[in-house]
Amino acid sequence: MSAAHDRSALRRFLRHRSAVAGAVCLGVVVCAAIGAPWLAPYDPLAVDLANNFAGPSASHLLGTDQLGRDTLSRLLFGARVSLLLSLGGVLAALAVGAVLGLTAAWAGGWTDRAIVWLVDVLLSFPDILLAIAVIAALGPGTLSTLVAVAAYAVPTCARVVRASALTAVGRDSVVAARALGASTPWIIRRHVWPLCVSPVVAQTTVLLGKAILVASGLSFLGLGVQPPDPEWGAMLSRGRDLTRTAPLGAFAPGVAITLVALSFSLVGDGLRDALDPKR
Amino acid sequence: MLHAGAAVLRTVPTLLGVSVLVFLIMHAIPGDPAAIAAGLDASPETVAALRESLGLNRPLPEQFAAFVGRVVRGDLGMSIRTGRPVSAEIAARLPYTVLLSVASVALAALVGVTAGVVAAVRHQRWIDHAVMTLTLVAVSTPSYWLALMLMLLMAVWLGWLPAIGASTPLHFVLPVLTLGLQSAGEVARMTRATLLDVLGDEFLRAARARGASSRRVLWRHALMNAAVPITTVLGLRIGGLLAGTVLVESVFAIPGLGRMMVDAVIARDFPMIQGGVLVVAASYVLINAATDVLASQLDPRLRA
Repeated sequence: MSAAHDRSALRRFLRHRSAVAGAVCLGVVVCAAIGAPWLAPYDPLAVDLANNFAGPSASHLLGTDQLGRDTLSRLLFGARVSLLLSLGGVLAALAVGAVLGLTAAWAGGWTDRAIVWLVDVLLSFPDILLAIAVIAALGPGTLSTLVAVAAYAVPTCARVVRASALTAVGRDSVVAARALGASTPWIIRRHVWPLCVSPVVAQTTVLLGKAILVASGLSFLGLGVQPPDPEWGAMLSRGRDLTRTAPLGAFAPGVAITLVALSFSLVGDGLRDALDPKR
Repeated sequence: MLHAGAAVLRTVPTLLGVSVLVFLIMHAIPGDPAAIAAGLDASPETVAALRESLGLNRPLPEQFAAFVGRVVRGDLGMSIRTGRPVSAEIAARLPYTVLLSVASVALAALVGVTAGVVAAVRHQRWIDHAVMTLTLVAVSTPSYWLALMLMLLMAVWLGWLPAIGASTPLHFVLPVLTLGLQSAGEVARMTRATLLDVLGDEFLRAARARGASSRRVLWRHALMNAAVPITTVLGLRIGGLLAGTVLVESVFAIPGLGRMMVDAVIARDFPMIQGGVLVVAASYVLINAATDVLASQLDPRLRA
């Protein structure tokens, strides 16, 4: 891809107002996550039972939870966990999905059919079910959550890569390179993968938003990140008590999850339009 | 009818793959599943007995064949935690989950199709933008948090509805509202997109040229053509919600299938997990096949 192409894609992206808003919002959240140790007023794990379920005040801007831990500090540190889980999970899924998708498109025939079948089977576990099945095998925990998020995202990644690789494989440039005796890895690197990048980037961004919903959902159910670690979904797992005693504590993590998930889909939509000049 | 039979037959390879995966849940575990299921303070004899009763000491292919053989006969094994047949446990929990899913999708169809039609008809006006923004927020919101907020508003602050439990029809209002409104987002987007697609078509211009009123064009011609993708989305949602209800069941303490699976995962009750996951995944596959058949009934072009 040329620099001129990149510049015009950037211009198209910047014209997308909602996508820019999403990108700004994500930037703020990423900065908050990186700066958590300096920004957070308290240790996110510090228990203060005398001050539990406190409402918002000057010392605790968002109040405290059932153990008297500062909600704002837990929210800031929770951003690290939530973002890393979704980013790590989706990147792992992308690695596996790229191998599956490229192999299927390149090999064709029975290999392709087998991989398509595998993807169909994985997609037969609706919603959060595949993630729950992974946790069932590995047991609850942060690492299992990462694997569960990856498992959730793999079939979608494989599908996107296969679809774009299939159009690339049929191109004259690939046919010519094959006829000239170029090696398979070289053709894939030089002629197939570059055509997959745009759709993969757009789709991956949308997936990141869904991944954060899956990871926080698992933690909410008690199957993901375990206490006392701060994670946005886990912060809501005592939400029913919070609604009665400290509503703000139940409100804030949900707003954070929604904003991040929403921003990822806005940016993903913007990237799709910007990177696809045909539209 | 022939078509329906073929559709069911096509699901066989997928269902086979699903059962392999569900079977592997217990065998992919690092460590000895019998020891994990029996718990930390179980005696070696208990672990050995559990291993025997789960059939874990036989070769893997033999275990799988036995597993499939039992599943086909409707035998999903015994729950380690409760000692009751898994199929009986599922049968007791399934009605709650099915009721939640179907009622939510009905609400989603009503709200989603209406919002989608309004947005498409007023394309690029403020109401279109408002609907699109709302639907995007709806699909980005965690369902369990929406559930908590509705509970906070309607049960804690206003006191209009019961907060938790499943004993009266009133208890289902908030869960159905949560899942229905959220699914409505997806339905509205699909309805709007298809309608916009169809509204530009030749035959609609022809209908208008023949003097059909714009209302008749919209409801009779355009919406009939949008019916197929909308049906598909609704079918997918019913199947998806069989698993998606788990988070909302958890908030409202509804004893459905999802809650059962989460309890089973925490208790490491492997037969129960396998049974629950298998039933939901298989239902999803079969509901999707049924939706395909239904869609082809609605649109003769799909009857290939």
